[in-house]
Amino acid sequence: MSDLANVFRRHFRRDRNALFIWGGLCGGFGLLIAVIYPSFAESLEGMLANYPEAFLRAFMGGTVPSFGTVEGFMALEYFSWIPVMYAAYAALAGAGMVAEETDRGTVEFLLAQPVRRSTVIAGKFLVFLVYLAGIVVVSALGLSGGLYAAGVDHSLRLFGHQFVSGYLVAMAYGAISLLISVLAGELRRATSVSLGVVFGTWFLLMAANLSERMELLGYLSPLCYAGATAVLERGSLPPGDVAVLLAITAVAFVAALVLFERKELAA
Amino acid sequence: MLILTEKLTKYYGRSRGIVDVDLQVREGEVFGFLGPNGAGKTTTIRLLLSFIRATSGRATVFGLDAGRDTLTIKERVGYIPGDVRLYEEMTGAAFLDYMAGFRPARKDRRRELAERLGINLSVRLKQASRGMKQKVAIIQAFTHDPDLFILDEPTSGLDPLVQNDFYGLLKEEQRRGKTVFLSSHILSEVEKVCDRVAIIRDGRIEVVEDIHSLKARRVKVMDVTFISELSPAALQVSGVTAVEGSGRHYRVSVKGDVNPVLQAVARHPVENLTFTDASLEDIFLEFYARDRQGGR
Repeated sequence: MSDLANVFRRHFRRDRNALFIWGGLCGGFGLLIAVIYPSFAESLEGMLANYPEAFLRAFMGGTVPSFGTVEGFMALEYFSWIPVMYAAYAALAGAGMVAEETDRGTVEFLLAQPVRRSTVIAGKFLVFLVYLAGIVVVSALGLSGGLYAAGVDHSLRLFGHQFVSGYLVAMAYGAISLLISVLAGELRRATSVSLGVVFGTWFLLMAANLSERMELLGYLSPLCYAGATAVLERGSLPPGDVAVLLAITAVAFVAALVLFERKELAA
Repeated sequence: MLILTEKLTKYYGRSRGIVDVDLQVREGEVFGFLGPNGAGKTTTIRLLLSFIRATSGRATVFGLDAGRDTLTIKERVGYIPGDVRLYEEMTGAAFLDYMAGFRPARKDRRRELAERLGINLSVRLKQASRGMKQKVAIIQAFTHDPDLFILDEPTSGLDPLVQNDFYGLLKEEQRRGKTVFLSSHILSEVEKVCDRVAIIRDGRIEVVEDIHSLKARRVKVMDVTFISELSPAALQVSGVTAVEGSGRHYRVSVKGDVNPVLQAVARHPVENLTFTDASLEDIFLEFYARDRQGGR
């Protein structure tokens, strides 16, 4: 068995609770929204009119096209929140990848084995990606299952793009949190900084949506890319946004690898 | 040389780790690395395993660069850290399986060691005592049949009987041609198992010496209570370096052969007599005294 498979297998077994907890949370949220949707369906346009403009600008970056449809409703009520939930999971998972081992002192046993540090990180990140995919799948099952149960037709393709968008955003946050994990050394610090980055950039995006003077700052937030409204407007994932999210992931991941290879293990 | 360090130096910012450490560990020997806490033992070991990078100097293990070739080196090293911290959520067996995933280990050897050390590997490590965790760490270091053991205070947390088993294990490995680098702050431990010893203090090697020479030169302290009063002059015989006390109670420091002083004591009725090992600090003081005499 290769070293990568060994690291993967251990963490896959250890982290399985993440799927139940976060999958349950996100899937349950989708199910709830899907089940209550029919009671809103007939008065959606009127409902939209009641939303303060600032609220729509802050959370959606402006008005929601085709709000009267199930896709438009879900863009506002579900897909504007779900990437933040995924990102919170990514922050917690990423922050623990290195800092937990250094904090608990187990890294000394691990790195006394003939295993590359980059392999350790790659194995853990792979587990994160797999469980993130699992959480996304459970979320999709919750939402689509709920809508089917409620007899509401919806575009699976569009929802698929929305979920993939959430996945890519969370992947970027996972890589950023991994980098923080390498730099921070302590689990508590890594976790709080990573969550701070997620919520800080979320608030930054909302502020940028509200104020023209801060508009440019919004681009610093990974949540700015492939957002629910953009996917809804385009009907698919904007390739440019996907490229930005992949680039953030790649840069943060490679930086984490390089820094961890050079990092001195504190006694 | 299996381990070779030349002017190996490590500073943590402005704090001293080790300075100009020169070590030569030969193949097949049990080499003791003796020093008080904070002397630089763990820093040296961490440099050998490339957990940290040297500020200057170099280290080789198996003739390979300790930093550049660390993966090749680790294939052949069994390591026990000074502060054993394991994955608490795992059982001992699961932990050993995980470690064996990086380096094939012999299951029969694991079973044999577990029986010998008296440990149940199905217990979750969260519930294990410090001694049990230490035993798991020992098994982990021994099951892949390494050529070199790097052991940082390996007997801490073990009860005396298990400590003796462990020393026996080290001697068996030595007979099989393996090399042991044993860090300790306990002089008697090093004396029991080591062929040679390096003494480190304040980050610098004070001396590297054959264990027999160290034993021959080391000071032993005898506390003796006589039944009746005695003149201290009666205890001033060959090998005695100091006599303290008066009347019936004396503390006598002896270097080398203890027979002359025992013969002197035996001429008078004794109520009680104990010998204690000189402390590590006494050994250092002895070396310093020698250095000063040598004009260093």
